[in-house]
Amino acid sequence: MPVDLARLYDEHASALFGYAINLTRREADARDVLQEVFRRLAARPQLLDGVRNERAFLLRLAHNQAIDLMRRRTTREKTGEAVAAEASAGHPFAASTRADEEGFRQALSTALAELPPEQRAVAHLKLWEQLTFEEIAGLLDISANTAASRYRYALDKLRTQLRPLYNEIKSPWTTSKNI
Amino acid sequence: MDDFEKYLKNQPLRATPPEWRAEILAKVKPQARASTASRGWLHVWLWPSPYAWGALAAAWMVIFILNSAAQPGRNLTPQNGPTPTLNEMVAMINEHRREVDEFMPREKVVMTAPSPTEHPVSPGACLTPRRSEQSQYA
Repeated sequence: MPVDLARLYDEHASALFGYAINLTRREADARDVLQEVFRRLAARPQLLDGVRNERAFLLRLAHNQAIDLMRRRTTREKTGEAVAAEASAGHPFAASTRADEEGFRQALSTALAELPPEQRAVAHLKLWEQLTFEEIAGLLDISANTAASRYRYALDKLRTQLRPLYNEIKSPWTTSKNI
Repeated sequence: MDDFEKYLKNQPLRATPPEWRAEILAKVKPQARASTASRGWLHVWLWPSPYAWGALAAAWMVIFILNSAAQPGRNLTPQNGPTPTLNEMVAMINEHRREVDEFMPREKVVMTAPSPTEHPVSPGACLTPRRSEQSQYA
């Protein structure tokens, strides 16, 4: 029986796209990652046999594909075939009508982009997929302690960069000690 | 999780562009068809629990083997024909002795089949004196 690709897409594509665009920072690359994940599922439906947590498994596929793509991209850029930066297209957050929120999301996107990919991956999986450190460890083939320490480093950097904006948005009269 | 983390967590991620769904699914559809066609009839037949079906088949094999091995009255030695009767066996032995005697003459002993009325006598019976004999030695 073929795997139900439409159902898988409807249930998981947004999460995979969010993760892929946060890692690759390019919409075109995120699309490639998404397409490659579904191409592999279509070609080898038995990949999902015995899988209990579909989301985690698909995120793992997307992670591996994104890492491969980023490595290829780095090589391509080193050889002089640099692709124009797609900063706006690589923004992983939804647009907001409120200027302060939109400003924070832009700043958050920039701060995430400055993190090393391995810290960015852990931060994304923890914050926006609500995975435990054990689940992140299984997904990224690292120990739970490593996942936790990467998350702490990432969060400290985000805090340092976003503290002024966050304080401004939450309550302009509070001091920075609140974060 | 502190307030800052909660605030980060609540930042909504971008949705996938809606037109991608049809495009991506259309692109991977031929591979899905090819994959299904390449799966053999056995795989399709055993889907979705090939291990369960395999285990069931193995269990039946074990039951069959144990049942065959433990059948009561099963002959473990091969037999080519019907079992000869006692008289036939005696006749065969006498015939065999006669042939042996032709080559190596000796005292002729002819075996006869026991009559059904006679009671078998145990080999030790002649060693034990009867009561009438015992009285002679008393």
